[in-house]
Amino acid sequence: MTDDSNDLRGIRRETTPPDRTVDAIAKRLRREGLLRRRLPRRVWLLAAAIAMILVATPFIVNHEQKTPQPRYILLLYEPAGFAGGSRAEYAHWAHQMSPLVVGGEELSNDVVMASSPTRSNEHLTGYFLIDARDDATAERVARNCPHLRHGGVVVLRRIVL
Amino acid sequence: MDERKLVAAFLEGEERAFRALYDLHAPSLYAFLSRLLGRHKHEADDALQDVWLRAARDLGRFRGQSSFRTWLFGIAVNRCREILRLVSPLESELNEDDLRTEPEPVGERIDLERAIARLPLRFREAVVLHDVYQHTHAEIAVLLQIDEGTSKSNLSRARARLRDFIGGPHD
Repeated sequence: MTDDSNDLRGIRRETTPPDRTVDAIAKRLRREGLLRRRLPRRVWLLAAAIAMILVATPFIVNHEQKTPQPRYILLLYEPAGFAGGSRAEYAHWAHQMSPLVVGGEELSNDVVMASSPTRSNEHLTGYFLIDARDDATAERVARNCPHLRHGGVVVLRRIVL
Repeated sequence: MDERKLVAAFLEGEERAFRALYDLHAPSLYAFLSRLLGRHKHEADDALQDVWLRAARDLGRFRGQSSFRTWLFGIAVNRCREILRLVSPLESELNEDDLRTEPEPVGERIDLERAIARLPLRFREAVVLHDVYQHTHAEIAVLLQIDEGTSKSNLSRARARLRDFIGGPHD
């Protein structure tokens, strides 16, 4: 042994540990929360596909089921002695007029609160929401409303957006 | 991916980063642990696991002042000392003068590996870190928490002891 350090440099500096050791360490690290579980490739692919669907869903839904934005309101008034049509008739008309008619409700005759007595002898009894791109289209919808055929009064107003 | 990025990803708990670092350093760590553990090298597998576990726990404190490998070797040294204190308390506490090496049968020479394994722990540390793994005395001083002079002295005495074992000329 003439040159210690040269002799020692020649000895093996690396030894492969047993194959199982790395998995045993990974298991211990995961148990302590120091390592995230490694998912198999197919699980990653599935997760990626699900993520893409989740990301894309709002766009798809928004595109296909876009909530209509009512731009007009058609107010329905009943004059004294108004016989009127049935609720089913109005609903059927609204259904036929969709997607221009996007909503509507019948109002109760009971007034919950009024800041001052109404001067009109016509009662506001309902309304429809109309999503029309212009006044002419909205007016055509309004003139087609069964309420007019029964002698009712309608008022079409623009909604301020 | 360079090692710093792997270390950062390991800190984040990324298993692929851990496995990449393991592939890079486990073979030399395992050989180092086996040599340092000497007669107890069968403990090297458990020691290797403990070193990585401790590294993962303390990784947040690794500041990159030394290389990642040197840092791992520091953890390995401490783990070896702990193991030897448990399995062979006498050996880890004796100093060179106390330790009487069993004589080899007359006419037989032992190989270098066996000679290293027979060295007292602090000499084994010095010779393995410096001559086998090429650490500088400055690095060894940090790793073993001793001063550089002590590192040099330990190495010199370790080499002399090896010569005795193997039968080479003295300085």
